[in-house]
Amino acid sequence: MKSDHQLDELFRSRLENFEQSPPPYVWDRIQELQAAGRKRRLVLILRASGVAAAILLAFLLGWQLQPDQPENVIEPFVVQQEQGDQPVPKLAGKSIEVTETSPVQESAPAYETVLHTKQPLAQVVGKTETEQSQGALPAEKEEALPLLNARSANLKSTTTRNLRLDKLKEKRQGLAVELSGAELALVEFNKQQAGNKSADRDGFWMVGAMITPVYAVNQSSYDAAYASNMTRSGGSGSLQLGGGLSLEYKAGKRWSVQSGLYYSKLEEASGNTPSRNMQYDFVSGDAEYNYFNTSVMVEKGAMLINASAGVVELDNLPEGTRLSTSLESVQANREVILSHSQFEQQFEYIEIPLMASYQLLDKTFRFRLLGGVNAGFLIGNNAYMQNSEGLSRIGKTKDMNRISYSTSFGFGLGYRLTDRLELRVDPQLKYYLGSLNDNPSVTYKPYSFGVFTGINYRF
Amino acid sequence: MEDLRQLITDCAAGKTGAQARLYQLFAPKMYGVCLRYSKDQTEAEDNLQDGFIKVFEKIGTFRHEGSFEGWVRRIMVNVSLEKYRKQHLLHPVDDMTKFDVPDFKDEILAEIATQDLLKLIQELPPRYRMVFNLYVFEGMNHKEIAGEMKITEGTSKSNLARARMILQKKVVKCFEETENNYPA
Repeated sequence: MKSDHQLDELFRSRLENFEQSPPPYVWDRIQELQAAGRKRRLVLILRASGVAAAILLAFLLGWQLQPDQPENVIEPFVVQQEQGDQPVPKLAGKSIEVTETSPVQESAPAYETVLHTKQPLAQVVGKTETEQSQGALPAEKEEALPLLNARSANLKSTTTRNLRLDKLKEKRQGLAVELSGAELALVEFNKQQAGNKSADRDGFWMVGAMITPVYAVNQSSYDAAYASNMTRSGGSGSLQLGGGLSLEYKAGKRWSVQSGLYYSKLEEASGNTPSRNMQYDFVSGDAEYNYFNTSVMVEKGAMLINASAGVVELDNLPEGTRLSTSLESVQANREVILSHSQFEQQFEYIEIPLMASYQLLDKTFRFRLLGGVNAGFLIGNNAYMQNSEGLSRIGKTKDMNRISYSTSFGFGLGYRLTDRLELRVDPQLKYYLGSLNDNPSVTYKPYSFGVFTGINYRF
Repeated sequence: MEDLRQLITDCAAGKTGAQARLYQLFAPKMYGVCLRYSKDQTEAEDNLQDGFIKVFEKIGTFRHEGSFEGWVRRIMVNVSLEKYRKQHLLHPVDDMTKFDVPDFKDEILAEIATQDLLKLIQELPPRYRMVFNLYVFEGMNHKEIAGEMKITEGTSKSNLARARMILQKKVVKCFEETENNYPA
């Protein structure tokens, strides 16, 4: 229809490329939502990892504490000799007596050495006889030959052709068998394994010195009244350096318990309150100060700022700070700091952890899983303000809990420098179980990622 | 063109500065699109906001094949449609026969203001607004519209006819008011 087309065309031609600038706050909202989304994702990942680590540790603990754990079983090493019709290579000076391996077998009875050979048994024995230079008794050899021949006849009738050396050894203690270099290495390794096992079974103590770079990310929530007069949270995390002494008791081959005394620091940065959230009808002062303002509450003669980690009680105002008072406003506070400034709330803690660790690899390199709880004692509480005049202390955060609890989990990497010294790098995630602040309007629960780096001494 | 490609790559890497530039570049045009699909400015702002959050989430999947503006626009339209589906699921289905719409006089086209036309679209009942937008501005046929909106083709046709009829009447009325208020 012509008229339909005409109407469509009217709207299309005029509105097809229609543009209009959206209000500026739309972009602010987008940024806020994106930041909130990122935080939410990170918290979800942290929670999931925490649960996974707890389940894994519980599983490993249960597995470890199972009765009748066949601890002494070592997988048998199979010595393969794929020689076909080739003669046994002659290795001068490499021949050893089978009796040398008997101490290993005494400490680990399940240990077996199996010789798999395609070569007829008589040939092996023959070569052993001819190349044997010492330690064999000719009389016993003669006794052994008929036995071995009978056995080789049996083997020929079967397809496996396996020869159990231990069975042979029962008959012939003095018989020496020539072994290749690889076989010698295996025997040595097995001896070592058996030796290590008995050494590691006893518990021992370790002390360590650690330094800990920690990256802490704020995760807070506030009630609406608090948030409406609050400074703008810095959003990003802060990097702080801590450290201390660790004490560890290794209770078994895999499990150990560790504690210690650590110093750690948390810092929460926030900026001026964004002007569009403030309900001021009028802000006096020079134009350049109008945007930057921070709401201040005056209560019982004290100046208070609602900051992102809790209420800051001011006992000092730095040089260059401008104030505006008695503003006309219904919802917001009537006093305002009118200068571009950043606020920092710092908290220092002494922490005592109680961690369990489960060793997964114990060689020159050690690898283990860690999990546990920490008790943190607040020893420092300061608030700072950064403005054009520099950084100045302005007071402290009210209502902070003196003791706070957190959970930690992570993994530990170790490198043995000597028998007693070990380099350690333990990346760990820490999540506070409750708010660090007692104020009912604020929930301040940061989480942090720290790399405990240092040296352990075993004694 | 190369600049836009770089901008898209930076946005995909999560660079806030790049995202701000991309927003500045496309927000006015996309706000125009959202306004057409919404009943008022507030709804359009919400859709624009949700649309851009989706754009930044999915920008890594853009393969640089075809128009990026078209891609962003499609996201805005989808966000508007999703919101419509959530809010207006229980609208009664009505089928109407064809309406005859009288021809316009040429002077109407010149006189009427763009903002007034936008307002007329925004005042349409939600489903008529959606169908009219998808048909006229996105160039979809009734089969495609029916698929997008989970309605029948017949409903789509009758909704479009209804939308046209309402707009037609309002355009004429709007023109008459303009004539009366500002006599030549």
